[in-house]
Amino acid sequence: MLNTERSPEYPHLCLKSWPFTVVPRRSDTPIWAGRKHLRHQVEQLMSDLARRRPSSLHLMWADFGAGKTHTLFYASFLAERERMLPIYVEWPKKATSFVDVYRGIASNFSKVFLSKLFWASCERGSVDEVLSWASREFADFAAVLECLYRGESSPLIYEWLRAEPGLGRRELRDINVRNPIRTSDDAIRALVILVGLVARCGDYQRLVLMLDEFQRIDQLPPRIRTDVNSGIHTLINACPDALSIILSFSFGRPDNIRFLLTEEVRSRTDLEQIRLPELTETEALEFLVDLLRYYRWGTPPNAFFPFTEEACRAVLSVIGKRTPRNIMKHFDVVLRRADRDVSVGAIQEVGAQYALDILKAVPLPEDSET
Amino acid sequence: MQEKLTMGANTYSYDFSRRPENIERVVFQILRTDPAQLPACMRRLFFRCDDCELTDPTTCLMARDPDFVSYLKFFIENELHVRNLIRRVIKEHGRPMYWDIIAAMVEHRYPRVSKRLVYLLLSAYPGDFASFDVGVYGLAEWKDEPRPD
Repeated sequence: MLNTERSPEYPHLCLKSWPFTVVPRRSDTPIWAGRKHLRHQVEQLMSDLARRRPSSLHLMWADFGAGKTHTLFYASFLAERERMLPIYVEWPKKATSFVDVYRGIASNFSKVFLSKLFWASCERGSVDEVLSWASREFADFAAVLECLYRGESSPLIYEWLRAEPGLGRRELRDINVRNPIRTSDDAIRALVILVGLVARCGDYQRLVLMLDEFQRIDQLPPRIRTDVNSGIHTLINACPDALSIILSFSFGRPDNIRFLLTEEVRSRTDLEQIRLPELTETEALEFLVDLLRYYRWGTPPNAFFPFTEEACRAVLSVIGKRTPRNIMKHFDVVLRRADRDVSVGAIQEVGAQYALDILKAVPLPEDSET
Repeated sequence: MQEKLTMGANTYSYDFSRRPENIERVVFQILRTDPAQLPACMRRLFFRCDDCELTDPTTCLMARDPDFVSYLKFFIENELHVRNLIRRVIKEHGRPMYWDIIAAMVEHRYPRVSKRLVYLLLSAYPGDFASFDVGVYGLAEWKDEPRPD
């Protein structure tokens, strides 16, 4: 998080810190630059989800480097603000079943957090009621909740919850469970209980599950893809309320999503898709101004400073695919050199020719984001 | 007459004087490995059999049967067309995929292309397509450059 009290790192550039970061940062107050329509769409979606209970499934498509992960972080920030529980999971590179997805989700739950969730859900009903409901859904999970109820703090509880391999019979007996979470069915039943606890507690409106990099499913054999798809639609079916899943994809064509999802999942998705294509020149300029404004310190001579508007247009003209990541990579190269030159007074601001000369001297790939 | 053709590390025996199915097999092997070595009758509309370096024109079945030449050329054109379609589909997607998804994408856009042919061509053109994992194919040039996950 940016500390506005801190002295500026680049006063000669009228910037309090470096504006171009290729990897999205997760912060308490995320930056949003440009794409006003998308921002409105995401804000609207989160606001809608906070106002109703039924579960939903959403698709997000983005071009490579178009800001998908950043958008999810922003959605996560909004979800928290709207009293929802966001869980961000990056899709594992080598998933072998839905259990791997579950592991990613469960790793977000600490034992302390689960205890809080359990006690919060018990406040609305009785402990017996919650335990008997959990027992009907998944007896082993109910046994773990009982351990939490008794105040046990064995690390085995957390290991079991995270479906960590290697739990032996003796360890399982210690926490009164019969089997580890081994199959996709177990993982789904465990998630149903987690969603149920969220639904029962008064602290959260719903659980918003964000599965990032879901396109990685396209490298899995059909058997595993079917298992994952089936896990998602079974989970949505089993949780008619208080669950939203956002699947995010990053590849060249948005209509290719249909080949990665089964008919059962497709038929449950929301009609409105979130799309992040590459930016037009106007959108790219708006993006730059917003980004620089966020890091601004003092009063610059123009909104693009230390660049001129012509310099920005010139740099954008040499970028093959105008995605936020690609734009930031190019402007980063120019600003690195300009930082030194402006600080020693060699130049006042970055002009078009200056920027193009720097880019010419750097061996840039023809199109680094195709 | 049995003859030999060396392409890269492989040497192929062939006899263009008989058994059309063998001729077809060899012609397609040449097409997939080094199309520059295809006989002139497969590459050009106008050609002189006398200049053929692959076989003796007096015994060549293709020289004696123009319909057979047309048949082979048609299937060569078809295969190259489908190969280009697959390339386009993978390039537009932008990352390697499991072969059955590539086949489904190609089939969706070009219903006459079978999944079986797509799989065959993905493994038959190492210069165009490379395997990135078991069953996962992408463009061969992606092997040498970092790709998005």
